[in-house]
Amino acid sequence: MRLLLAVVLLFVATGSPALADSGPVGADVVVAQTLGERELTVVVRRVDAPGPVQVEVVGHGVGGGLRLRVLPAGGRATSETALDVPAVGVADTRLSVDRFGAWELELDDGVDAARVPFQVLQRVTPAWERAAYGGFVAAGAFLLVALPLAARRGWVVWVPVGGIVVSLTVAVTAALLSPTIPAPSTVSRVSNSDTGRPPANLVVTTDGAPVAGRPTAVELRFGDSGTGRPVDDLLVHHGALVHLEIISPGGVLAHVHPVRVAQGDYRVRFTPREAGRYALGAEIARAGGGSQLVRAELAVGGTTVDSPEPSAEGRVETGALVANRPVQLTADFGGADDLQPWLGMRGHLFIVGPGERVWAHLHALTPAAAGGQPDETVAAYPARVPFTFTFPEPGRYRLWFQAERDYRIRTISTVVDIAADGGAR
Amino acid sequence: MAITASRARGLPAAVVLLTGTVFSLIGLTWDVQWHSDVGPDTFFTLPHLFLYAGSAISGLAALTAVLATTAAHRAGAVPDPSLGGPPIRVFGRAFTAPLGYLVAGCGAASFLLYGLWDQWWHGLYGFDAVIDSPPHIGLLLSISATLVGTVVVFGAADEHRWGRIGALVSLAVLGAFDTVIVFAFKSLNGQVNAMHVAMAALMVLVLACATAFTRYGGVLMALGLAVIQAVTWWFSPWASRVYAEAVGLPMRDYAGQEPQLPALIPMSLVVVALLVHPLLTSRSRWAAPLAGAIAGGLLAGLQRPQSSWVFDGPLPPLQRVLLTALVGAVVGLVAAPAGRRFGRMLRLAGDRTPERN
Repeated sequence: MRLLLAVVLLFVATGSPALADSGPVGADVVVAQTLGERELTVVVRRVDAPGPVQVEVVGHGVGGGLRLRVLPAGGRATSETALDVPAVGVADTRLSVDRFGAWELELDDGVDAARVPFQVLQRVTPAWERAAYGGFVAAGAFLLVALPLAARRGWVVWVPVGGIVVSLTVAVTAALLSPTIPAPSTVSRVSNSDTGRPPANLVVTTDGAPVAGRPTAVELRFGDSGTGRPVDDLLVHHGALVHLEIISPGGVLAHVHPVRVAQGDYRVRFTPREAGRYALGAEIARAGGGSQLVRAELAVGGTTVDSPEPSAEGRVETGALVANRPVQLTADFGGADDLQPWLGMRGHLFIVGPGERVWAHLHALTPAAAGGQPDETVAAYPARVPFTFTFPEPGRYRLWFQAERDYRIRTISTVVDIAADGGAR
Repeated sequence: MAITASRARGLPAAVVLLTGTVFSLIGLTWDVQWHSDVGPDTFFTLPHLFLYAGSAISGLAALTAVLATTAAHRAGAVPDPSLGGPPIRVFGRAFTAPLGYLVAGCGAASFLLYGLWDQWWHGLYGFDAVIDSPPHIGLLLSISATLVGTVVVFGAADEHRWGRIGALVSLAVLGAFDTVIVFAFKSLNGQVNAMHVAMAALMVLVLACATAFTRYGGVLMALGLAVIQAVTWWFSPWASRVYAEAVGLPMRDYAGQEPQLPALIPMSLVVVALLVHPLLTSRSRWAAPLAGAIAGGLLAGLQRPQSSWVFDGPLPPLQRVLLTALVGAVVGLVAAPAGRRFGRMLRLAGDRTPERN
């Protein structure tokens, strides 16, 4: 009892929480990539080196083969494999990595090659932890040796007995001191606080003048607004490095995720159906720089191939549409409650308002679940997806609701007119 | 040999051994509660230290007892089985070690060695991983081995009152501790609640063992288990809260006052033990299996109402409860005769000439 009390007192006296962080290093990388004209979700499972890397690719409508390679930073590919991605659903394969550090996963469909960055982090075991575990393990081993020796004549038994005493002393000392030992610095090179990183500039170019009805390769170059150097510190936020919204003159939305081909260089291929001005919005998040929406536009020549028809894969219910009042906007995708989370969310809503002054991307979150967020293989979310938004000014707004079902992205688009606030507030 | 001299001779080592296992039990109920109410985990939370210290203490006690036996042997004494159980030859040598201490010591050593696997596992899957992970089950089974050794050590001294009491106490500690092993059966839950069946099997086993070991052993052991349940019921949530405050960690939003591990121990055990006592002590051939079936059925069937009551949850369909009770009865049918045999073996552990029985 006295020992118990002493131990308790020691812990209470030292006080500080034992924060030695030696859990698993790194996490799965889940990133959306629009390769060619197909939307893929690429999952790189947490990995240790040297060892296998589990890679999963989810198809969202278009199938086909891919060549996958993993390359260390500035090195040559260590392994390569072919993967047949189904039109809808998951395909998985294994590659292997041989060292810690920055890596890239290359996905090549024969025309374009996406390079998804991921990290292979080394687990740092603090010295006290080695001493504590090692001490107890050594005590166990010595005990195992000592027990049979103890049943024999001779002094030899005192060697393992001494071993037990020493290793237990080491283990208990290390264990008791551990709360006071600061955790080793984490491997992350970037601070997770806002360090005031300058915003990124975006330059959009195309291969030749875009013409309606013809596939166009769009190149997005993100440059640091301070130094002009390529921005290569984009974080995976909301399941992608870059969310690009392309809105046609007639109000058709393409929500795509340009593939990363090099530092600060992202590409996406799309086929404009209409002639006229396309509005672009790219959402990015720089490490330590917060998230940012960068806008651009694209002029498409030629003649309109087909006029846009509003995608109506469900209905929309709204409350009173008055400016400056929060309103609930509910998209009802109909059918069974089997929506899947896309980009970690059970629903997305894009709102573009009068003169494109309002440009918003909202989410309906998946409810918190024990053991982390479910991935998109979980088809269990309600067909009705609610959002709340406050329209800041009266006028005409375009709304696009998106959700995933059967691994396909469903879109409901609508137009609402917001009345002026009647001065009630 | 003078009776008075031998009376208390094995007592100190046995008590230290039992203390170690009680440390393990305290560490376990506290740790399970900590994981449920607070969560964040490092290797050296205080409950973990209790678990490790428990095995270290048991291991040292066992080793000391083996050393003492060898020293006595060298001094010319005849091995006394009442000091830790029948002598077992080690590596075919002429020198022997008492069974109880050998089992307890090996359990402690194996626990300490399993720590390495556990560290690797946590490195891969993270802290706050599930309780029924393979290395955890290995660790817990190792402690169980130490507990079995402790039961043997006290059982061998059944000619003394301290031996009989100690054996029942350590059986109760074994029963309380092994409720956690029952977690491993969770993945088998279906129409039949495998966890509840496993719990019934465990309880019938220790009940029958205690009854066969000494007079009213089953009832006394059940009372002991009830005391452990009552104490840990209060202790584990309290200790988790106090420790969380001391290290500055917040309690989880949904942390209730319900103790996790003690809530698993069947509350009906004392009543069930009294109910089947006449059958378990009967000499009739079918009495023990019948007693096991009744006890197993009751214990398995009452587990779910108990947890619904403790955690304020809904009752499952009656059909599933009855099905679980039925399977519990079948398992109890087998467990009771097995437990009775264990009890008789335990009675023989301290005899100089086991052959005569």
